[in-house]
Amino acid sequence: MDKKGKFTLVINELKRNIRGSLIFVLGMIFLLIMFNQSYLKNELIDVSETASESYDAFIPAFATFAIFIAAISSVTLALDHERGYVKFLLSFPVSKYSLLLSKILASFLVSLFFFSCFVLQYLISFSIAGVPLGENMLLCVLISYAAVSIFLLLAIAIGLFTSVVFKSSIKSITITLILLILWTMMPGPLSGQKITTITINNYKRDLPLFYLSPDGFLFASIHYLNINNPSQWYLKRYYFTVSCIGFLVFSSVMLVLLLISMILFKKSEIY
Amino acid sequence: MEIVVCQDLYKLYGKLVALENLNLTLHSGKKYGIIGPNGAGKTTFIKLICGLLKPTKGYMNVFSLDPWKDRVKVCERIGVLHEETLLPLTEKVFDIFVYVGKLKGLSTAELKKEAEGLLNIFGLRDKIHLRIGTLSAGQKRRLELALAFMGSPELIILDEPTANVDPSGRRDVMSIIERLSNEIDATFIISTHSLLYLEKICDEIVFLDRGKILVKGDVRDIIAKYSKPVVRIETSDNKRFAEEIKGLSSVDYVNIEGRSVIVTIKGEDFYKDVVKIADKLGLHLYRLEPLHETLESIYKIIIGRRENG
Repeated sequence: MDKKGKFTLVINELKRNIRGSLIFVLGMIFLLIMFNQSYLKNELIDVSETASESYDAFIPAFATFAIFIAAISSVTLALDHERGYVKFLLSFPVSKYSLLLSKILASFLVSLFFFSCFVLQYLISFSIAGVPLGENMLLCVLISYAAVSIFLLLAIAIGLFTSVVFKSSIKSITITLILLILWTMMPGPLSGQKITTITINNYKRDLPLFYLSPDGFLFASIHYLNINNPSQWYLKRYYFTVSCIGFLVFSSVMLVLLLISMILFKKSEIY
Repeated sequence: MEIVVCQDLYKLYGKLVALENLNLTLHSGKKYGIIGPNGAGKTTFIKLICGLLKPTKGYMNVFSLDPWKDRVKVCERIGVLHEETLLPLTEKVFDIFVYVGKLKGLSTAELKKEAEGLLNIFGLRDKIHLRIGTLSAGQKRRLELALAFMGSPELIILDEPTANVDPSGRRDVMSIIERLSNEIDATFIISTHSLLYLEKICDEIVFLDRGKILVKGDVRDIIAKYSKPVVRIETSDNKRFAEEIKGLSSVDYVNIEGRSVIVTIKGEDFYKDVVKIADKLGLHLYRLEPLHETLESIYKIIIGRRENG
């Protein structure tokens, strides 16, 4: 298949994803923006000096929503299998890798669009309220996008992995949701902080331990930017370290799952 | 040129043997019919050619390529219609042509020209703006068939092209296939239970049963080889006549079908015997007509032989 064919495959997959989830995603965006407006106004805008200051409190919940959309979007591979759409496509000169990559790209773009709607809404709300963005804002947004991109790809990898292994939409969706709920419900700022104690320069310090959940990790990696007080530099170092470890762990798991999914899909027979 | 070559090919689904020790060579430009009862391995054979399944044992190549390893290259040169309808129902008819055309590497001008031609041939010209889900089963089948012909494939594989189609639609579909098979310079592999059409379209037949080749060869040769002389007779009293000729040494089998007595002959004296018996019983002979065996009757004979060991 030439480049034009691959491009067509991605565009078509994107079209199918958007068509399949358009009403759901748009409805959810509308409802969440309505709900979010009052949260921004009452909880964040009034008490924030800059937009970047409260970004870490705002973004994790919406990253979690985007993660679910990404996973559900990718798990439709199992549904495509059941409906014979995979067989239909593979009867033409379409490689299995291209098919998987188009699924990954389409799921990623749809869920990233969902996430971007909220980032945009956040920035617009603060601008309208006349609150300055803050000098870290761009960095905060960039870091959140980097982290969310990894999360979305990990969620997609989970969806593809269960689809390829089970080839049954009900089983794949159920197991994907269980795994995502377990992952996103890990202790984080939304579900209460767990404390760990580390020793720095012979002093014992209490630190929040929530970086394995997406919201906790996002909070840590963005909050890190907003710590400017020298007395809290140990916290800044801690957040930086866990952010780096988090990136490595999430990326590795994501890559391994994607690789296994690709190998299994390549080897799988289409009955 | 050899297009499909199988040597000692096996395909197993767990313990179930779908294809067993298949040795077969299909040549370019010919029209092959794959026949056999359900579960004979016809669809498995087709899926192996398309690279959707991996052979358990043995060797298979299509266009001198391993279809499992080089599926994309093989698919560039084939057009396939699967047994079940696989079309995405939310797409529009014309959009699916564009999509498939682009996947097959056609330029916009080429695919537009091909789509228009095929839509006309398959009678879907007025359906181009409809969603596939709104088409009838017969129209969906014709659409899938049209897609199989896109991109001028060298090998066209049709698995049960008349599945889910009503009898009149079946006739239309098979007539279109017959017409295209004469017009297009491609190799055809057709698996169907519509043996009457297969006899008209195909040059060679591969008769599969329980994963093995029972019979293979030229359609006409097979019919000649397995044919027995059969005669249709109509008399003024078919029942009495049939009872009387049953015991003759020149008669193999007698059956009353409607207003006729169908007799399978085994001796050369049959025609003399018939006249004698009609005279003896005082019956009028209205009709005495030799019948030609069809692929369908041969199919029954071969299956009958297999069942009787």
